[in-house]
Amino acid sequence: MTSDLASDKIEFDDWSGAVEAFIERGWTDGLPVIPPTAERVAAFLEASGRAASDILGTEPTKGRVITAEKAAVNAVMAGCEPRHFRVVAAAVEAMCEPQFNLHAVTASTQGSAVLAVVNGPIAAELGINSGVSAFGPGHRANAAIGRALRLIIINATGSQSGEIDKATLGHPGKYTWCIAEAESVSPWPPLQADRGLSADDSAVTIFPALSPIQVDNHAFQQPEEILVSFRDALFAGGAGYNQGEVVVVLCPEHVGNIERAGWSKDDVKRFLYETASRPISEWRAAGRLIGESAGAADDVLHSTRTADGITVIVAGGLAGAFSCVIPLWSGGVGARSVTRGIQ
Amino acid sequence: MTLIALDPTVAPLPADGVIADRPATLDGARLGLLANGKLNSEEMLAALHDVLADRFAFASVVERNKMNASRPCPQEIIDEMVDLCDVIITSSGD
Repeated sequence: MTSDLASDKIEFDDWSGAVEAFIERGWTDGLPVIPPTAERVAAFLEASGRAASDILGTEPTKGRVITAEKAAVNAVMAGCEPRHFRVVAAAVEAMCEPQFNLHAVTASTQGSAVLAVVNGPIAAELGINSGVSAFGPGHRANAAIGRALRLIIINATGSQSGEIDKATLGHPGKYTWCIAEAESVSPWPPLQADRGLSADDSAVTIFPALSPIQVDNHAFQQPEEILVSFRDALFAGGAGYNQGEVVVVLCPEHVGNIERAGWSKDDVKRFLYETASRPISEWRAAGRLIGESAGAADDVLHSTRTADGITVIVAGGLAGAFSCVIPLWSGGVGARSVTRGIQ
Repeated sequence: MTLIALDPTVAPLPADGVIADRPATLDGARLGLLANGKLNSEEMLAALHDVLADRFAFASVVERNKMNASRPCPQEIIDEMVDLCDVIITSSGD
């Protein structure tokens, strides 16, 4: 009901006046938004079964309370449909979990985005793309859900570029970044099952994600020959060494070849862990700040602390042998991904 | 035709958040130096202390390091510095 809404109401001369005013006030990502009317916000809340006053979370450093109403206002602005708001609300709850370290990942010079990966039946229900151009444009659910999370970060946590957000470069995923996992293509259990939910559950997992590093390997079909080409990408991103968590997105062609050899997801993780290692001297030569206490120059450090620190997701078009590595903010140590079931 | 839209922002401070009173002088103040854990944060605070110490006579100086730049300061350090300090300077070395 619109009478339950607590946000201040602002009157504008017309639609275009509201659109321009929202940009001037710094309330958008730089692009025009849908002006959030009370009626549309109420429809979002009704579709999700959330009350306006429901608290989705609290920004941990500044104490800003994010209600379902404020999240819905921003989801309207982003271009969501009412049915998308279930995913947005669950993702906001996940963002406010302490392990996500929301303030740091939205303020830091390292410039991470929020990557939302949706699993389970809701992905098909909402038409969230997992296939061709999975990270690209053209799908409303992907575009609007990811953008809603960015607008919530801007408006509900105050992390505007140049203000709290001090990213040196950032990356284009900060506009919007939401995909589904290609569960029908993957031979392995889906992501939410790896995180303790049922493969039949709908869920969203959010990652404090740095820019993806594409890995191109059209030359080989054997798992070892494919996966060894991920080594340099695992070295390149974030802290590079001793990472707590890093994401590897495998494209269907790579997955198909790996699966035909009988490899499991754990086999992939173990191989990547073992192959992505090098002596401390080489890490230092690559510009990593590694103190004397870490060991001798010829001691070996792995890219990740453990094989389980590598999260493997399947996505992308059927054509092309292009996968990627996505490092996380602070090497996935100071902030970790969070999975949340979608009600 | 006019359009009424909702404000998308959340207030920037907790309702009970206030700014501490500013001291009239630093002479006789108990100074706290809180480093944020980043490289050079302690060095920057030490340099700042040296500049201020030429101009003011501090009653005491307490140095602490919260050791994690990306998380709020541990409550025990906050409680200790509230007890021991009149003025606290923090740093963001990098």
